[in-house]
Amino acid sequence: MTDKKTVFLEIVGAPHETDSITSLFRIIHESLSQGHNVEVWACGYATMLTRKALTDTKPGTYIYPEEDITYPTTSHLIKELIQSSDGDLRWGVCEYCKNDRGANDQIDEVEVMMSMSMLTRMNLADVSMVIGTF
Amino acid sequence: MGRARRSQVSSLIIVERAFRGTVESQYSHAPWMSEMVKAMGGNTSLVLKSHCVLYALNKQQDVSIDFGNYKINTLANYNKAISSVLARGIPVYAKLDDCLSRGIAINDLINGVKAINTLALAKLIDDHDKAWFW
Repeated sequence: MTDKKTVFLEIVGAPHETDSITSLFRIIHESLSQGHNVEVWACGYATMLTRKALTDTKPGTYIYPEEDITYPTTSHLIKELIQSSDGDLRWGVCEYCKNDRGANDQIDEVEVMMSMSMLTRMNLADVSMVIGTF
Repeated sequence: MGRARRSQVSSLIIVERAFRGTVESQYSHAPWMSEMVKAMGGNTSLVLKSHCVLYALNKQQDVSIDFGNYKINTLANYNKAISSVLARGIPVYAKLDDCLSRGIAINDLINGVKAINTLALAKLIDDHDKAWFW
């Protein structure tokens, strides 16, 4: 029987710049699959991942108008995962970083948290990891 | 899209930072951008450097990522992307020394991709009006 742990993952840095977001998604999926609780703390430009402005689908490719493919946005993917996680995934967004970058239209499924509560949440977790840089 | 605006200016797209934003970007990578430029009436060529030479490997497989109950199967397939670029009449070059240092033989490249050395790259830059280095 899995010993249920709380995994704290801080994700920092802009989407599209590296594959850190992809790595985060894979770690989240694997941690939840193994029966652990996951707390994500989105910092810096990672607060952009969960903006309502992204809507659910990316714009089309334009050059392949016949293509019948829907490309999901990160906010849609994260929303879906939170809803299907039965409470095992909690996604926090740093309030300071959100305000500093104008990412104020956060999806309803995430929790905007006071910036310094990050240390508390990290200390409460069994395992913590910071992914990315400012 | 509106009517394509014809341009006589030629651009060389040189890309060397590879595999960024797999989940965020999906299809919106440099090869796609080169097709967009061509579709808008631009005259462009694509050079793959450093890790980006891996984009030009033949026999690449489709990849997907499981994220909770969601399977993200709209990730970039660079084999198809490069083949599509070539099919649109855009020349594609791969830096030879970057291929060789990664154990990639010329025969491992997608048919139509040309391997070039540094001197040839310098000439390509000279032969184009603009060089975009991504």
